[in-house]
Amino acid sequence: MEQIIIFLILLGVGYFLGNRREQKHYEDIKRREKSTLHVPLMSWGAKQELPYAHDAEMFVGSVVVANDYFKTVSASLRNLVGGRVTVYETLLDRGRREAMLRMKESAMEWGASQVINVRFETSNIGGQGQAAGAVEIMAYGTGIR
Amino acid sequence: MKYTPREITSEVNITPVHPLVNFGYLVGTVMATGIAIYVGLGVAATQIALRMGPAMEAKVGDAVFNSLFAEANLLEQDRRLDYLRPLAESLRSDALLERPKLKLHILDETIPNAMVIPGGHIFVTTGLLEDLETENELAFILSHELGHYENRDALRGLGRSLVLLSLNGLLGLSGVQLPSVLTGSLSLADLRYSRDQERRADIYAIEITHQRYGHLGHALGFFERLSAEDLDLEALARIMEWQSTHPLTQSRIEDLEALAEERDWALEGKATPIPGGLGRP
Repeated sequence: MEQIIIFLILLGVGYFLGNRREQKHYEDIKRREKSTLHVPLMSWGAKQELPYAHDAEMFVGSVVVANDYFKTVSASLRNLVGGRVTVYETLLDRGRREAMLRMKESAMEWGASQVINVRFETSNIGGQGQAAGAVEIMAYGTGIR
Repeated sequence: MKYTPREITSEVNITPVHPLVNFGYLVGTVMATGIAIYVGLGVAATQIALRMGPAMEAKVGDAVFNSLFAEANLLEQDRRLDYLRPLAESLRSDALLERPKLKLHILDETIPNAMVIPGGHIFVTTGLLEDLETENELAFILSHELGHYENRDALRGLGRSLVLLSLNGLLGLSGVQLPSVLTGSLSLADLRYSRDQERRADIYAIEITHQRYGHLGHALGFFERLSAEDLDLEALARIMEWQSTHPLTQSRIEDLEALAEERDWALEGKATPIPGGLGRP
């Protein structure tokens, strides 16, 4: 019985806090995306000619987002039936957009007119078995001015 | 190429479903499947229990015997078995002759008890043998267990583990063994029967006892002594133990006496003594 109560508490904390943070984060992401919209991000092919620039520098934005208990339980149930893990879709989406924003904001601070050759890297941290893990998402690109 | 900033308004990477709806769907699906499997196993177990052939039953019985009594203190060389075996054989009904052969075991245990598991394994404790005063009592108790055996109560008592046990039996023929985790952990607590099952076993018992002795005198003696015992702590513990696997109520004795009167069977008669006594091996 005690274990069930602990489980429900963890699930409730995971759901209410996790969901609240997620909503706050999305509001923040959307606001920042809007304010940085005027600088283009591009992902060129390897052998394409680059735009002319005086200066070029690499910028890296990286973020680590933690999973919450509610998402872990939802995902492990999803593992039984298969299909889209919708709870992780938002987690990764948030991570990617946040990493990209951090990269873009630091490039804009430097004075970039555009960021080219944008790439993503993702790696997971910890999370053995049932323990909730975290994901690191890194975005990097070449800022030019 | 001219760059025109455009705000992204649609979320292509996110499935628009509320996390709680998603969670509810998942919990619902998994639980519904679980319940369906549980009910299905229950239905399958009952059907298997009713239809199982003697060869298969013997196999399942051996598996249960090995998992329950492998560590138990069984007296397999006891000379009392020479007396108990023919007595039990003589108490079989015609239907029981078709079933796996009876295998009698004496359990070294001071608490008086008797039980039957599938495959015709019948157990009596040394405590029970020491408490018995007449053969009629012994015959009644043995045939009560045989009644459970005839009605396949022990098989049904295995419940859902029976499905896996019989699967194991089938696979065993081809040399494959299911892991013991799957065949389940059995315990003596599984040998609990419903009131109705007990009643039917009792009816079997008085029919067979009457057939053998021509009367029911002394047959219920053991129960009467148990229920009349002074309720000191030790006696209470013994009664509780007996009740955990058998209902022992005054009303049960009364029911049986009423049934005997209805059939016009004598409730009094000469006691058949136990040759040599069973108290000492």
